[in-house]
Amino acid sequence: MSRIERTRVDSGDTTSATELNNTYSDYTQAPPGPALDANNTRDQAFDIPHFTNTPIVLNSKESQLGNANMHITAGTITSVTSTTDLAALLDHQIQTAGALATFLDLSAAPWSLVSGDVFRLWWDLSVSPTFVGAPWRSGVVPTPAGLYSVPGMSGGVWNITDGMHCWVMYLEWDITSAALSTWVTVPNQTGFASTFGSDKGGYLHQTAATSTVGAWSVYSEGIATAGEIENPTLYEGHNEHGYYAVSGMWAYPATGTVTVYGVRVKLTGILHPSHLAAGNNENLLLYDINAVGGLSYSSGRISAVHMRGS
Amino acid sequence: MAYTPPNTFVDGNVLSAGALKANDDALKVYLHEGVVTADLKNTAWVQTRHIQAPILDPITGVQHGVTGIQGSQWDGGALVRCQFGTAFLTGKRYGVTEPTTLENWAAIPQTSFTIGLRKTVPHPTVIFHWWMESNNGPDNGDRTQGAGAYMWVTENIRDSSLGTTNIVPAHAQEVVNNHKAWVTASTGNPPGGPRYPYTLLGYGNMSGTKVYKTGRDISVGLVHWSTIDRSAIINWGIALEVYY
Repeated sequence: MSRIERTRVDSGDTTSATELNNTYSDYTQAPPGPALDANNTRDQAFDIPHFTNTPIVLNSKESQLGNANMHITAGTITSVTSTTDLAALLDHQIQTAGALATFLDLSAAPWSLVSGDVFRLWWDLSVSPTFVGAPWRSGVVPTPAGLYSVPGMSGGVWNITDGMHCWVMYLEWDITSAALSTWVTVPNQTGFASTFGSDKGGYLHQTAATSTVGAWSVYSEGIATAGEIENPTLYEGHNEHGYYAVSGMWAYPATGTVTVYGVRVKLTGILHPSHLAAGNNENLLLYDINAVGGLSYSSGRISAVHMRGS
Repeated sequence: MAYTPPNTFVDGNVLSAGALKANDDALKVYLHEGVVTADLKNTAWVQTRHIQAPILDPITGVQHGVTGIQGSQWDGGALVRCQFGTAFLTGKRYGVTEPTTLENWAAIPQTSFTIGLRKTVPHPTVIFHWWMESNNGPDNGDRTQGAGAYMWVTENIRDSSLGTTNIVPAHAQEVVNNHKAWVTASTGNPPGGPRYPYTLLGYGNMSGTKVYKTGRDISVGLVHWSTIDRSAIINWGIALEVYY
């Protein structure tokens, strides 16, 4: 039944049994129903009880990332060092100080996404970059990236850094099997192992699931005058960040069937921004093996939900 | 149930008022309480206008709809633009023992939602998002002029089924005291002050997300545990998603 449009019977009209029966059968749904639709339904007719009882969030899980205690507890710091050889890139899965891998493990009950479903993930980790000396500026040949010579006060020429060195943390997942032996970067995410001439790294446009951690803070203690700066060997302030929290999120709208067995956070560094020298000069993040540092982390969390599309 | 007129009329028979009324009564019953799923057209036709509009609670900043709850708040409204975390509430100037009970932690005011669930079976999924920026110290506290002083922030879910054990210390995020702003500068005496800007050090920028399933009315918000004398929380926001 769609909208009922039947001429009414007025006083004095002649009607028949057929017309009268048709008036009532207008409301009959079977046969040929079911047929009630928008024409028979008032605005705001449907409230909570009318909706399916199938949860919108089909699956959810929360797991520990890194160590299972705050870092004031002994033995709860995991430390890594930066890559110093492009032939042997150092990437690192977030784990405990005892080298027990920590990740979102779905292998026991994998999440099956179908087209239209959405996978949403959040993570955070307390981190502390470390370094010795002033690796952004001195004692290294060839020099680190981001080093610039500028006119200095008192007639000198000083080497300063752009301060853009960073660590990156990015997501990988296993969508192959519960064996968790086939980890790949999530869609639109690089593993920072691509070759660009004599360098290695990744495209910035492939960092959909990347969070960066500044490698250090460097700033001038002196007061610049007329475009000149103080001698950084005397007036440069720099420090390790100390522990702070880095976080990331990622969402994946499924366009086909995908079974997720696990998601993990990887860590690598130290990288520095760059760009292609030709073509579209696309932005890159490249390893800088001449800037050496470390990164320690304590504890964090990784959570995800699987939401149905229909 | 589908509607079936109790009486069918035949030409030449007497039309009685009772038969007409019986058909009308049956139709009245059907239209008021007899429409079932099987009567509805089996192709998509429900439009937004057909769905009950959400109810907005302007005090909590959330709206309740047919598929869940959503809402957000940022800072404390027109009159409250700053909050504080402080070791004077949590009672430690440094710590080597992890605070594991709710009593060890102090709530950060105006960072929580209290919600009443409209549907509890199956358990709705609560997703609580938060972020904040804070100036932490500088505090010339213990441990290398405050280098070992931190503020930790995590979620607190007040759910009667969880009692006082809902805080997970290892899920807390931390930010270090801006101890560099206190130490002796290369020129001048402490505090270093503006010479040592709040870059990342001591300028905490945190964000987190808590995913939680519950069938109870809950309050979810932020708590802190600090060994810094004071942290000024200068910007913050919280957001809530609940899916039935």
